[in-house]
Amino acid sequence: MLLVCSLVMPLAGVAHAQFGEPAFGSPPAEKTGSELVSMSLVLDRPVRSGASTEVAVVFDIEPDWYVYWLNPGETGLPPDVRWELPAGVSVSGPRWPAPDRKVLAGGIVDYVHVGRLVLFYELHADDDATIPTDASIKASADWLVCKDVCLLGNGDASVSASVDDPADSSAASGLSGRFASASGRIPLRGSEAVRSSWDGRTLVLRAAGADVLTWMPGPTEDAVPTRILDQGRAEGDTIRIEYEVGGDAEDVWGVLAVESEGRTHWYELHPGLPGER
Amino acid sequence: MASRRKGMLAGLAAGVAAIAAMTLVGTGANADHHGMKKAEVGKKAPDFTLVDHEGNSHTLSEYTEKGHVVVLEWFNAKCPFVVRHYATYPTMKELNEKYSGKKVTWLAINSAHEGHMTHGIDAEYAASWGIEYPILNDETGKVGKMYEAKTTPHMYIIDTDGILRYNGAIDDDPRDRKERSAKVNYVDQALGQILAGETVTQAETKAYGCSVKYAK
Repeated sequence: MLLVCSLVMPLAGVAHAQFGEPAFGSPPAEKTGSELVSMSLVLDRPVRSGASTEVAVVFDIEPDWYVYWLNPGETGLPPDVRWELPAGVSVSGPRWPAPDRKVLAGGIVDYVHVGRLVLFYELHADDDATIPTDASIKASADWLVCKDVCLLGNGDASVSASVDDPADSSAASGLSGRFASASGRIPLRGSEAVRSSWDGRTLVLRAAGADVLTWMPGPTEDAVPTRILDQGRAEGDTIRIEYEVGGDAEDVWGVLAVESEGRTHWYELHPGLPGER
Repeated sequence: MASRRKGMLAGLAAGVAAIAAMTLVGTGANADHHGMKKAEVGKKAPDFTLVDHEGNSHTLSEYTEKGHVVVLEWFNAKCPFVVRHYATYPTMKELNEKYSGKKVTWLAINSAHEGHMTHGIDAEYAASWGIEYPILNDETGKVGKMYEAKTTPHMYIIDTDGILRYNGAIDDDPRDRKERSAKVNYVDQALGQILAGETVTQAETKAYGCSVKYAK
């Protein structure tokens, strides 16, 4: 009897291991935060001593999910990128494409990216830097990716510092050509198309001919809009945003999205502090 | 002719007044955003009554009036920032234990609406995380909106006079980059100051976390 039992049970165990859970009826495994975003690096030109080149960190985001802008808004956390570079190579940037304003239930205002987020950095190699042929550029990042729940994720990517991509037909236009959509969302600076002024502690922005204006403030601790839900988006050519500015405030800045005749342009503005000379 | 016009005008005025009255009453539900008292550090914190995950009712003023300082913690068991402060570090539970003999009451609040996947799971997480304080059900979001709670976690501290003394983050380390001992826990700091009768030096900080899952 005992012998039979001991023979049967292991067999049953093997059978279970073979068939496991039913193949149908069980839900697909949910993706982790690290799986919902895939990260890659694209280098414009080989890294050469005494020269600079652009490098893009590309985050491809699962449809219906989003990551956050450098000012995430009232909730969330932007992606954070860290670099591992050969000796003598440094990085500056990034230039961030403009986000979308997202208003969540309850009137929570966030700034997010959907689809693909491309951050444009610049690599500089010192004049006396020696870049070995097998040197690589590596970036790692952590992020918060959300839909109706939020998940933390992380990833990394690396690219050879010396390999040129011969198939890259947009080499002449650099990464801006290769990532035209993201590049087109980099806010313009110093444009005459938008006028800014302070009316007391209300920031007044005007863009002639605009249908809709959306103000997305940069992350500043001591200078914050007090009514961003109601005032962050306005129809017409003028938008007025009330600010609370503390003693330690150094700047007010942000991105203005200007919708006009079905197209949107983005402008980065640094209107200074209220009451400035 | 004149008296008929007067009568008509009176009727019109009454009609307008009636519509105005109905409009005022009608916007009662929306008054949460425009008329109802909002939480502000230094001012009286809005009172409320909510039922917890075990079916018990709790009213804020019942605690403050018996001399307790109250900590409110906006909670969502599926939010990675909340999980960090329960499963990675025992931040919330240890703080609650540290102040338990000092007339401090800790109340967690879940404002997720009824359809959301993080609604109705509080008892399960209270059990698995060993949470001994109430997790209040604010599924209509009414209390969350009175306090303008944005994130989970989002922390508030109310003193024994019912005054809001702290509003903001649990600590200064949203990315969990620091060693635990190097993190500044704003709630621990504020509780120490309140119980010592001192000013709260960092009374308002920017809360970090996932968004509170309000109803549309």
